[in-house]
This record gives sequence, structure tokens and C-alpha cells, in this order.
Amino acid sequence: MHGTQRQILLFGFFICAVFAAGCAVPYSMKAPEQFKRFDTKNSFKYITADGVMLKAREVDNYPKASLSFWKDATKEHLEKSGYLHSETHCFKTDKGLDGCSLTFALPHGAEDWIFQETIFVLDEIIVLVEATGEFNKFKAVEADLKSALKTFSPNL
Amino acid sequence: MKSRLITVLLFSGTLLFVGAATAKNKKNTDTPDTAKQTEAATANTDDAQTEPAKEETSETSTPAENSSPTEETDVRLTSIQSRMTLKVVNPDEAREQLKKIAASYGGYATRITDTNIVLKVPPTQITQAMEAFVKQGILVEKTIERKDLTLKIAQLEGKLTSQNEILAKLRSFFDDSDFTATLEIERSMSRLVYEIEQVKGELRYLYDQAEWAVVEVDFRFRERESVMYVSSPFEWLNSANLSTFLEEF
Repeated sequence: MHGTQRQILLFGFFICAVFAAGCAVPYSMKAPEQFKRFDTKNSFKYITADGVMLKAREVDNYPKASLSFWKDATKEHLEKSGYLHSETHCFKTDKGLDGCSLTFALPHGAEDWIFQETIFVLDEIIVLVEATGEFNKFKAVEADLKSALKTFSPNL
Repeated sequence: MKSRLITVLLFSGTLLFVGAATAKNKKNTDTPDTAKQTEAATANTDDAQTEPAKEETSETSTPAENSSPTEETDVRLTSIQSRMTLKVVNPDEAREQLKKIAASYGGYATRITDTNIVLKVPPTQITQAMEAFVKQGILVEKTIERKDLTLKIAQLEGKLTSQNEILAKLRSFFDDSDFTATLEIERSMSRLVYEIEQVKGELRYLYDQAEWAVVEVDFRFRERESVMYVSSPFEWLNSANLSTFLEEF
């Protein structure tokens, strides 16, 4: 292989690597089969055929606090807002990351909906996996979602 | 003979008057207690709504219970009526489950509709039964109302005893009465028997209320405060809500 060719090849690999890094989704999860990737861009959004939605995002861990603190703060805040707390489920992911899922019911239009907030605290960052949907539709996928959350991993 | 008739009429008239006056007095004394009981029950309901854990405390602090209504009655007779709203995935399955739970505590279902179920369970099992009911869904709201029926039942039983005594006395006049007096006695007795049957009916109803605690389970959200925006001192929490989620999705 000529030197020029090798250089072009290396440059190509470099470009691909940069492109792949730029496009990489910062989180990974074995989503339940009912959920389909909703957005192919650099985001983490899933949706089921009947409209149960899931997405992940990150926020600053400020003021810096533990998972337990944020779990309580979230419950307190959403209950004050009129959300009906139904369950808090704390667990460890397959990779050993601690997380807590808080599930709330709330009226939305003429329907009852579920809003679920799952919190992972990673030092300076909090990763939130949020899921919502109409009550019965959400309940239909809730168990699968609970299992899937154990496979969640932030690639930050 | 005429004097005999007058004696009978006077006696039966006096007995009926005394009976009616006694009943009226009891009714008068009963009214404030009933008000107290209702007030206490309302307070209990409020307690149950805001802090269900206080149920047992409020149950023991009912004013009517502290007033020791009768010396003869040792056992408290209480009517318990509870209402809860549960959000469930499948109301049909939940109904069946609730019926099974009620049966396991010695109770049964008395009314079943598409949206609710009314169950009766023994009062001694009410706490455990309600805990089991709540596990069948998400508890939206719960109220529990307790009324002490001991005083009311004791008063009605007293009234019944005195009415039966009057009836027996009236019967004893039959032997020596002429036609007119017999007619008058019969009229008085008919009136008395009617009153006795009314009291017996009331007593049956109250005993039934004391024998079973009634739990009405509703499977829908009742009207309640809607979701509102509440600001949090923690910035990211202000974006943790359904509206923001839907906007950003």
C-alpha cells in the first residue's frame, strides 16, 4: 500500500470515528420490543404503537446530592403539583448503577395518565429516563419497561 | 259496669301517654348525641382523608363513646361505612379479586356495577380487608365514617320493653271488659302493636348496620384537583413534568 493510500485510509477512519462519536447516542438500553426508536438523531426517544413514550436526558447534579435526595425531592415536587404517587422502585442496573423509578398517575385531558421518572446519579450529572402514556396503555408495558431499565447504561 | 269501662279507658290512656312521653324524652336526649356522633363521624372522615393512619385513634376518641350511654350494654355497636376510589387496569378482574378478598374475611358483595362494588365485611376485619382492597390498584381517595349505635339501640330496646309491658297490661283487661271497653282496648293495642313493629324494624336495621361494615369501592377517578404548575427551588425539577415531556418529545 502506498503511503498516500495509507494516509487516505487513516484519514477516512479518523473521519468515521469522529462522525460516529458525534452521532453516538449517549445512552444504551435494551428497549422492550413494543418500543421503537422514535428519533434517529443524537437523542434517546422511544415510542410504542399506542403512544407510550420514553426518553432520556441529563441535567446538572446541582446542588450536588445523592440519589436518595433527588428521589425524595422529585416525589415531593410532583405530589405538590397534583401528581398521585403510586410507586417508588429502586434498583441496580446490570452494570451496577443505582437508579430509582418514581411512578405517578395524573389526569390528562379526559384521560388518566402515568408519568414515570427514573433517576440515575453520576457524580456531576443526573441522568433522567422519563416515560409516560395513558394509564392502561402504560400498565400494559410497565413490567417490560421495568426490566429494560435494568439494562440502561449512560455512555457519558 | 260503667265505672269499670271508665277505669279501663283511664288506665290505657295513662299508659299510652306515659309511653309516648317516655319515647319523646328519649328522642330529645338522643338528638344532641346523634349530632355529636355525626360531627365525630365527619371529623373522622376528614381525618381519614388527610391522614388515613389516624383511623384507629379517631375511632377510639368518638365523644359518643365516652359518654357511657348504658350500663347494661358492654359491647360497643358501631356502624362503619367506608368509601374508596381505586384506579385499576382491569375493573372486571379487580371486582372479582375484591369479592374473593371480602369472602376470605367472611364478607360478601351486595352490589356490583360497571364502575363500583359494594362489599360487606365483619367490622372486626375491616382494617385488614381494606388494606387488601387497596393493594388491588392505586388508591386515589379513601373515607371512613364510624357511628356509635350503642345508645340508640339501647334506647330502642328500652322503648320496646316498655311497649311490650303496656301491651301485656292491656291484654289483662280483656277478661272483665264489656263490648265497648273491649273495642277501646283493641284500638289502643292496634296502635301499640304498630309502634312496636316500627321499633323492631328500626332495631333490625341498626343491628344489621352494626353487624357489617360497608365498603364501597369506586373504580374511577372522582373529581379532584387538577395538576398545576408548582415552582421548585431545584431547577431541573421544574422541567420534570408531563407538559414539558410532551412539548420536548
